[in-house]
Amino acid sequence: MIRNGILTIATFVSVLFFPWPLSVLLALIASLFEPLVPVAVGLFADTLYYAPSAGTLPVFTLYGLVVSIIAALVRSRLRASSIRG
Amino acid sequence: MKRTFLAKRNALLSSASVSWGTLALACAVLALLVRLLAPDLFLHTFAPVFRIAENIAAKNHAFLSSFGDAAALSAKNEQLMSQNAALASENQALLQKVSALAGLGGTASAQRTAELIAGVVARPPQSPYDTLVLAAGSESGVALGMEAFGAGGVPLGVVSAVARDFSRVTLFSAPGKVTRGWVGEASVPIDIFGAGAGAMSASLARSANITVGDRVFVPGPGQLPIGIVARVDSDPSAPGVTLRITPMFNLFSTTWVSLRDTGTALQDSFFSATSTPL
Repeated sequence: MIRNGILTIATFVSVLFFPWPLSVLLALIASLFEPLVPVAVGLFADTLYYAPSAGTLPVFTLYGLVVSIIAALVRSRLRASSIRG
Repeated sequence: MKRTFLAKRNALLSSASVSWGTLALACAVLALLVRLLAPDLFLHTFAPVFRIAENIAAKNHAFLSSFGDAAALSAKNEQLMSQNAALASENQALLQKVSALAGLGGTASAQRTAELIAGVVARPPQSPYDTLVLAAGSESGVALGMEAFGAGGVPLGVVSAVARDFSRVTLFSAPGKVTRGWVGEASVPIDIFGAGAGAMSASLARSANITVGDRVFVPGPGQLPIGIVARVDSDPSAPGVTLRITPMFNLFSTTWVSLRDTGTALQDSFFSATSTPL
């Protein structure tokens, strides 16, 4: 639980203070434990930096959503499988 | 008979059941709501954070560059000093030309008066969409469609959003941004496409004979240099070539920009009104 919290906060802080590739890496790592973190971080990044103009989409939210869906699917599969017994 | 559905009171909203992901999503949605409902308050809140981020980025850059090879740096320094001398003389020649032209029409001095200077609060790579957040808004006279210029009068982008005390500039290198300009000494007209991360690209006919190092210009008052052709991608099966363009200077180190109205918004609206979509 503490690990999840630290990872989530670190990803949010990274969006503010560090280049975006590091934030993406942290969000991917966090998605292993908290599937909602990528979409939350993507939404936060777009809230901070997105400027609506012709032809641009809020890509961080969209990619975050995709990663979150994949992470949630993988977790549900693992939970349903016989690995956990 | 009374049935108990949940073992304890507030079981649906207990602190154990709310995950960090849910909390993070709630915080992000809250931040989004603040930005949508009170954009100026939002930027006032985050401006100090952006400034701290800028300092951290500068310190990181200084730390990492200290590992560079001293000999290579010395050679580079010498090369830059000679380039600087050449540019200073070129600048003098241009100043002469400007003063001569100002005597003819007086337009240059008129444009100077309408210029605004704004500090950059957030820039790439912190701001990942090739946008700059400026500490000047409608209160300071910033308006949508004004053009932003960097050091040496290099055009950087166009103001795409304005709040009371802050504004956003979408750089020419932003993905999806199309700018009309010229390339090379022959001023071949091209459409410059933003490729993200400070880079731009353009396609034109092979017969134009554009080479690496050619300058790329956009309309300002006259032709203003925006970048340099860094690579020419040529596919033998295609009739044209693709130019990979890098900006004139590092956008990531821009701290101040000047803003003035060059009629970019008017040009865009005129172009969209007269062009036929394919």
